[in-house]
Amino acid sequence: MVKKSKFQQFILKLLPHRLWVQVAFLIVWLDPLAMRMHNMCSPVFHCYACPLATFACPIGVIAQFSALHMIPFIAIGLLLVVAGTFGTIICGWVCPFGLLQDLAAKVPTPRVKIPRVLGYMRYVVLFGAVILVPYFFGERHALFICKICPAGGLEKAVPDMVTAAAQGNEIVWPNAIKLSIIGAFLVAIFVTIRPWCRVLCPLGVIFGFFNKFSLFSMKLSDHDCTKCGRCRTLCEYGVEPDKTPNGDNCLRCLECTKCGPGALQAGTAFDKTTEDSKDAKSQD
Amino acid sequence: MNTRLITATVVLGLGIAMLLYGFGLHVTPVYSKDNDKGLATAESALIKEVSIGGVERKPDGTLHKTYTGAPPKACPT
Repeated sequence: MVKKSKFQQFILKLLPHRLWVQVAFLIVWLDPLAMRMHNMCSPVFHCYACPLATFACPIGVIAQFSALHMIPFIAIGLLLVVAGTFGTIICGWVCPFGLLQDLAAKVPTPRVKIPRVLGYMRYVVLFGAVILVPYFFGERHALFICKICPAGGLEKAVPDMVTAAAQGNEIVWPNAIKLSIIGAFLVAIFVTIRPWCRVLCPLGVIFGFFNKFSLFSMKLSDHDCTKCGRCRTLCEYGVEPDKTPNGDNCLRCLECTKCGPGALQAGTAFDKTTEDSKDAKSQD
Repeated sequence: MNTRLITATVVLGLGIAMLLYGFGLHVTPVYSKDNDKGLATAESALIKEVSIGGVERKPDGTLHKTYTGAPPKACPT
């Protein structure tokens, strides 16, 4: 049994309360003070068209700036700072869209496994719908990210439709593509875990890429790992933490650090024993 | 040598530099029907404008406001 660091002991105390941490951050994103600070981006996936959005969505801003042929220094700078510090901790503990999917996953339904290779679709979405399509075709193109984003659909289009129906006004329906995406997303979150984050999220893929470099990191002690596979069982997202503890598909929920021998621990780049195992390093 | 710490420091430094430039120095002229000379607009103000679909790029490469008077409440997309 490996001696757990103080940081890891703190993480283990916090782990049972992850949902509450997500809820606490949700309050920050839902603009409780009606400040509407849309001249600044948040580091999470939350549509700025939503009436309850404190900050602007970084992905929406990057796409819109791409359509304007401009570099969004503030959005990219913020993402670099946050990703360079935390990596996908944001996905696992902070993002409201992740919380929505985690809550849906609490409903006991049969689960479908997502092939890991589909995770590369996130790069297609990032470079296609967020950067290239807006740059070459502008914001009116049907594949512009905001036009196909389920967050925008759920946080703006659906509330608008419900409000219009409640007030007896004419309902403005989103286009067929957006309606299909909203429908598919609502089905998917009940039959698999975090489908958007693992297959399509362009923000998650940025944070995931920086898992290899972020100040926060996962440590795997190869010497102490018994290859029992418990970390894989603990991981709901289909990651193999014993192979790639800092892989780009890890959402850093940190559940795997509950493994019996304690070979997997959360740490930082400041730790004296910072070396990841050789195997983990070579496969990251 | 702790390569992770060095890389993370470089990434953070780059991010902070971009944030400082974006907030402090980056301005772009935005044209409107009221202002044909172009109003120097800070990037933070431009973020607010794009979040409501308030700016578009014309074929000549200039940025123009899409509305006159009160701004739209939310992004049309």
